[in-house]
Amino acid sequence: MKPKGVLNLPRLFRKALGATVVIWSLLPSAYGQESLVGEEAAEPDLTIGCLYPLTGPMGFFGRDADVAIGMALDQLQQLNHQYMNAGEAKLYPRLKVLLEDSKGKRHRSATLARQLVEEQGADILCGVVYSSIALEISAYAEQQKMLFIGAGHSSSRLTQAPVNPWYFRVNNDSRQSMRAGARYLKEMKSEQPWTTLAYVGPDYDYGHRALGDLLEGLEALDVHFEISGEYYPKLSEPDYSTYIQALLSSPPDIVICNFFGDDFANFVRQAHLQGLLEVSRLANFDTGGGYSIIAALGNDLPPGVILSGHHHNNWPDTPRNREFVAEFHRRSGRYPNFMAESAYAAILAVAEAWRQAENTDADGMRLALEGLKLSLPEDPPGFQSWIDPISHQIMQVTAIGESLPNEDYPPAKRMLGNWKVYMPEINPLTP
Amino acid sequence: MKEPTGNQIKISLWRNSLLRRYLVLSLLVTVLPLLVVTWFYDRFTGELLEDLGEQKVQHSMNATHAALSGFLKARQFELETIVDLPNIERFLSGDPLSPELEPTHALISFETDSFDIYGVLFFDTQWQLKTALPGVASSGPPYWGETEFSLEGLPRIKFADYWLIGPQPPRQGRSGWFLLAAPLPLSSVDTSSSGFVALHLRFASLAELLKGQSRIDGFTPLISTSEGQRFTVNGRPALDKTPSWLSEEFAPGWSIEVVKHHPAVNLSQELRRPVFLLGVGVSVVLVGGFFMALILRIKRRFVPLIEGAEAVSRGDWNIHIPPEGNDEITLLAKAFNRMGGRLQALIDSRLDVEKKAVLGEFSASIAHEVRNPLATIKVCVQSFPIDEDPRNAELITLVLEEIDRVNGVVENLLSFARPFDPERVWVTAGDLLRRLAALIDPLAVRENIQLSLSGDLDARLCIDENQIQQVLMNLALNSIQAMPEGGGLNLAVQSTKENTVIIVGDTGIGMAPESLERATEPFYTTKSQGTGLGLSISKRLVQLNGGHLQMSSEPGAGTRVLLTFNASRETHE
Repeated sequence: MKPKGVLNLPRLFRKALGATVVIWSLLPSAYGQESLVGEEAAEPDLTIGCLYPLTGPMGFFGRDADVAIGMALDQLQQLNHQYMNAGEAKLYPRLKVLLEDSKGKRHRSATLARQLVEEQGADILCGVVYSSIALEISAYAEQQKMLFIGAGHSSSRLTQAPVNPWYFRVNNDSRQSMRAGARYLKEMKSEQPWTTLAYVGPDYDYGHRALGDLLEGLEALDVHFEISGEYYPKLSEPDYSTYIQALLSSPPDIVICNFFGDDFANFVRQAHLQGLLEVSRLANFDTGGGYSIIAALGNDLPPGVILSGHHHNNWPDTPRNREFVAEFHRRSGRYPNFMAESAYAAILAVAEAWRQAENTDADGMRLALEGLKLSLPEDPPGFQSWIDPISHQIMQVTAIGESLPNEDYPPAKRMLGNWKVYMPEINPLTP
Repeated sequence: MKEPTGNQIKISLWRNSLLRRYLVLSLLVTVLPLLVVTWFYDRFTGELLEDLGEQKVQHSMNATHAALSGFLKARQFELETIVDLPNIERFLSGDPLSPELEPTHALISFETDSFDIYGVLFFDTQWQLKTALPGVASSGPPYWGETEFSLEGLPRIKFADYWLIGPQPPRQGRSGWFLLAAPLPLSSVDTSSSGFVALHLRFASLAELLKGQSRIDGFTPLISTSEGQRFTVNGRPALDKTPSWLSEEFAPGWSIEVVKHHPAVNLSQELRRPVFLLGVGVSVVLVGGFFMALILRIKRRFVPLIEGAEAVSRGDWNIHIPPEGNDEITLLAKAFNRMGGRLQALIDSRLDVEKKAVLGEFSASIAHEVRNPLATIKVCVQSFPIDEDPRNAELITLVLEEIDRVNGVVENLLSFARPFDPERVWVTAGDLLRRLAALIDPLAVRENIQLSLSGDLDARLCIDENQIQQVLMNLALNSIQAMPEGGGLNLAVQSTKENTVIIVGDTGIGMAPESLERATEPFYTTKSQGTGLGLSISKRLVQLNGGHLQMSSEPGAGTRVLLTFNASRETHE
C-alpha cells in the first residue's frame, strides 16, 4: 500500500488553478508524424510540478504564474506549428504542468514537492516564492537528482557555491539586482551626493543575502559610504513603526528596503506617513517595482522612489513585451506582476532545453540548460537571456526606474520611468 | 476760586477717569487669568505629562511582562509538543528526510511554522549541533551554506525544565537569535542521555513585544539579558547606557527595563515653550493695546461733551457738538445740542417777552402822558386867532404838523405795545399786492423805480387784510428809500401746499450783516428820520397773523423780505 501523504492531494488539486494542462492532446499532429502513429492519447514527454502560493497574502503571485504558464504552453504549441510547417525535425515536448497551491508554507511546499515527484510522476519541479523554501526544495531535488527550475525567488545563496547541479533559476537573483543597484547608487553619487545608507529587509535568507550582495557590489565599485542602520522585520509584519522610528532617529541619505509584495506596500505607506520619505530616498532594486505593489499603493506611492522588478509592463518597449502584457491582460483582465514572466520563462526554458538536448533524460536536460539562450519578453533589443553554466543563474538585463505619475496601466496610478539599464556583469561563454 | 486750566482738566480727567478704572479692570480681568493659567501650564504641564507617562509605563509594564512571558510559554509548549513526538531522539543521528522520520518531521514543521522561529536544532549532550531543521524564516548557518554553529560564549540559564541560551546579538547580515532548549527523551535502546532539542528563535520577535511601551514619550523600554546586555524594541543592541528607572524580570536573568529620559525633542518641540510664552506676552500687549486704544477713543468722544457742559455752565448756550458715528454717545451729543438750542430759544423768548412788556408799559405810559397834553396843545394852537402875518400862520401850521407827527409816533408806540387782535379772512395775494402797487406806483415812478408783480398771484392766505397791507406798505417804502438812484422793486408770490410766501425784493443798497441781524429790534434804525419801530411792528403783525418774517440782504445787491403764511385750510378751520 502506498504511504498516505500528509496532505490530501486530490483536495489540493481541486483548489489548484490550471491543475493539469496537456498541450499536445489538442494537437495530435504536433509531435511529428512518426510519434503520432498508433497513439490514442499522447503521453506527456515531461511532467512539470509547479509550486506557487495561489491563496493567502502572496496568492496573487501564483495566480499570475498560472495565467503565464497557460500562455507559455500556447506559445509552444504555436511555435511547433511553425516548425512543422517549416519541416523542422525537432519540436518542443509534450508538457504536463501540475500547479499546486503551496500557500507559502514551508512544510506544505516540501510535502507537495515530494508528492508531485513520488505520486504524480513529476520529472521537473519549478516555481517557489520564498527563498528559504526553495533552498529546501533544492536540497530535495539534488537528493532525487531531478531538475528544479527556480522561478520567483531571489536569494543568491541558491546559485552560489556550492552550486546544486540540478538547480537552475530563470529570474534575476538578489546578487544581480543588488549589483545593478550598486551601479545605480554609484552613478547617483555624482548627481545627488549621498554618504549614509540604511538597509531594511525581511528576516530570512533572502533579506540577509540581499544586503551581502549589495555591500559586495558597492565594495567592488569602490563606493565609500557608511551604514547607519540595518533592520530585519519579520515577514508579513503589519507594523513597521518602530523600525521607521529607528531610521528617523538618524535619517540616512538612502534607505534600501528589500521587502516584496504586500510587505513592501505596507512599508512604503507607513514610511510615507511617518515622514521618512521626506528625509531619505527609498530604493528597492529587486522586486519593489512589481506591478501589483505599484497598483496596490496607488497614489500612496510618492514620485521619485527608486524601484526595479524582474519584469516591467512598460519596459522594454518592444513588440514582444507589449504582446506579452496585452495577451496576459486579455486572458486575465489585469496586468501581470513580474512573477508571470518568471513562470513563463521557466516553461519555455524547460521546453527549449528538451528540444536542444541530445539526450532528453535529466542529465541531458541539465547539460542543455547550462548556457541555454532564451528569448524572453523582458529582453531589450539586441539582448538574449542566457543561463550561466557555472552558477546556473539566468543572466538578464536589470532596468531600474523611478516612480512617476502614469495611469496607462489601471488601476495603477504610478509606473516606473527615467530608466537606467544595466547589462549582466558577465557575458555568455563563446563556444 | 481759581478755574482749572485745560491741561489740569485733562490730567484730573485721566486721574479720576472712570475709563481709566475700566481699562485697569478690563486688563486685570483679561490678562490676569491668562498669566495665571500660563504660569500653571508652564510650571505643571511638564510634570503632569511625566507623571502620566510614569503611570502609563507602570500600567503597561504588566501587559508587556505578560506578553513576553506568554511568548516564552508558547514556545515552551511547542517545545514540549516536539519532545513528546515519536522518534524525536532519532533526529540526532538520522536523516530527517528519510521516510521513517518524515511523519515526525512533518509534525515538527507544522508546530514551528512561524516567522518567529528560524528552525529546530538538535544537540548532543555536549551541546554539539547534530541536526538542523530549517523553518520558513531560516537563513544561513546552520541550515544553509556554512555549517559551523557554536554555542560557545553564549550565556546558558536553566529555566524550569528548559535552557535559555543566548541571546546572540545581531551582526551584519544576520539577525539576533536565542535558543529555548529541552532535553530529549532517553532512547529505548540506548538509555544514556540523548541530548537536547532547541527552538532557534528570532530575538527581535521577543523585543518587538515592547512596542506598547515604546510609544510612551520620554520612556524607552529595553530587554536586559543575563550578562547585562540591553536590546532595543527592534532587537538591536542598545547604545543608551542610562540606568533603568523601572525593571521587571520576565525570565531568569532576563528583564524588561525602562529608561527614563527627556523626551527626544526636535527643534520645533524645543522652541514650543518660548514660542508659547512669547505668544502669551504678545497677547497681553495686544489686549492691553486694544483696551488702551478703545479707552482713548471713548475718551476722545467724551471730551466735546464735557467741554460743551463747561460752556453751558459759563452761559454759552450756542454750543454745537459735532455728532460722530451713530452710537449712544452720538445720541447723547445730539440730545445735548437740542437741549442747548431749546434753552437758548427759551431764554431768548423770555427776554423778548420781558422786553416787550417793559416796552409796552413804557409806551402806554408815554402815550398816556404825552397824548393828552398834545391834544390840549393842539386845541390851543388851533384856537389861536388868525393873524394877517403869513409867518404866524406858517408857524401855526408847522406846530400843528409836528403835533400830528408826535401823535403818529405815539400811535406807533401804542400799536407796538398793544396791537389790535387781527380779524383774519381769506384773501388772494394778488388783491393785496395789486392794491399796494396802485398806492405806491406814483412814488415809484417819481423815484425811477421799476415796480413788478410776479408769481402765483392767485395764492390764498388767511390774514387781517389791513394789518398785512400796513406791513407790505412799510416794506415797500423801505425798499423805495433803499433805492435813491432808482432800481427794481418786485412783489412776488410763491405758493406750496402748506404755505404762501410773499416776497418783497429790491435792488437797493442792501444791509450789512450786523444791521440785518438787528433790523427787527425796536428802535433800531439806520435812518436819520426813522423811529426804528417799522420793521419790529411789521414782524409783530406778521406773527399775530400766524406767519413769520425773514430777511436776507447783501450790501450793494439788495434786500429780500419773505412773509410766510400758512395756507392750509385745515389749519385755519
